[in-house]
Amino acid sequence: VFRYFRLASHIAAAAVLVCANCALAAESTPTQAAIARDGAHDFDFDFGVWHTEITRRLHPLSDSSESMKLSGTVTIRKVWGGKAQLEEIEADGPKGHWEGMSLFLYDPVAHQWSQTFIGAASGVFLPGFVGSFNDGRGELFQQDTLDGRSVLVRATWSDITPNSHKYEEHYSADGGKTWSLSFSALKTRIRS
Amino acid sequence: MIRNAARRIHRGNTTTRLQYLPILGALWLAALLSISAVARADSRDGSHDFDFTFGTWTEHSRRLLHPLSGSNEWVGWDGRTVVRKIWGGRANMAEFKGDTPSGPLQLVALRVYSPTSHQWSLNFATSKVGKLGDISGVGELKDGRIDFYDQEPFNGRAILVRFSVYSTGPNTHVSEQAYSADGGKTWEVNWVNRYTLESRNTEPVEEGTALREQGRRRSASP
Repeated sequence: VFRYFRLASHIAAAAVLVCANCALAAESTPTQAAIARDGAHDFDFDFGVWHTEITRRLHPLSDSSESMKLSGTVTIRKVWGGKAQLEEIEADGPKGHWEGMSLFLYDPVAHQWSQTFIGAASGVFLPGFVGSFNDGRGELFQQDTLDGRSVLVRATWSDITPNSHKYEEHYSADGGKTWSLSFSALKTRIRS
Repeated sequence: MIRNAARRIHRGNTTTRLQYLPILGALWLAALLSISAVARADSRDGSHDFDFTFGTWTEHSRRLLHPLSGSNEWVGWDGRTVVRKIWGGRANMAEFKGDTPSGPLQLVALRVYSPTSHQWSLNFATSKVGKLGDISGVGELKDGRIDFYDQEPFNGRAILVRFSVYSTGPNTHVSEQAYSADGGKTWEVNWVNRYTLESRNTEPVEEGTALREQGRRRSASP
């Protein structure tokens, strides 16, 4: 479950990758620089207590625009003094009360964020979203199953201001060529 | 046990099979009874099984350096753990900070209760790795211990992993990890954390603030 020495194998794996990429190093310099950007503080804007207005499309990737609205509170607190964060969501909608949480962790070797979401109704771990920020917009990706078929899911954080931002999820059934909105939440700050 | 049953069945071939019907019937009844007993145990509400861990704890940890190798070389370190409840207790997060012989370690353990399977799931992350594990342990409270199990590769082989949490007194508890390379027959404990309660408070205090508060309290006392 927990590997105290996982970092060592991480570094070893990274070293192997670096050597395998030696020949490509010259061409890939700009990409490498982008990947190496320290994103450890990219989610700092999200700390605090937020009001959330959620719209959930009931049949994403279809022509139906049928949706459900929920409103609630999102509380995001620091873990390890700010290196990671715990998000707790409580919302009410036509189907009643809904609770969920996310753990956001930054991988300093991969320079990527991961978000693991857990719904209170299921209470199990599922593969999380992984990604990073670019030009003030966060994009994390996940492979999921919709109606028995494998799809890609993209989570985005955009229009980020000190007191509001937008969180959205889109589905793609064509390997990321086109995206269809499935979930959106407009968050406005209640307090820091 | 499996070998004995095989021998019995082999001998059975030389006699009439009918004579085994009552035994089969008894076995069937026993199986039914044990299934209903298991079902009863499974439907127990375990969503408060971790309540005793909520609070701030000082911790001493010991870790076996080379598990499943016959080596008995352990390392130890001290730290502090805050266990905070989520969703009123149906999930919780243990946040650890300490100094190990190979440097500072920050760790979170996330434990989540499934109201449908009545089981807990456990996963870990450290600030250095910064990602939850791909495999979570799953388990439940039994005989005063919460035992999580999973199967993982270790040195290229599949092993079983057990992570346990149990109370050892009103203000102490233990968590430990063990590996089994023989399908759960024998377990080798390789990581032991002993917790002593500091306070039931779980609000994180910045170290600077904590020290200032202590100073204020000290200067205020006669």
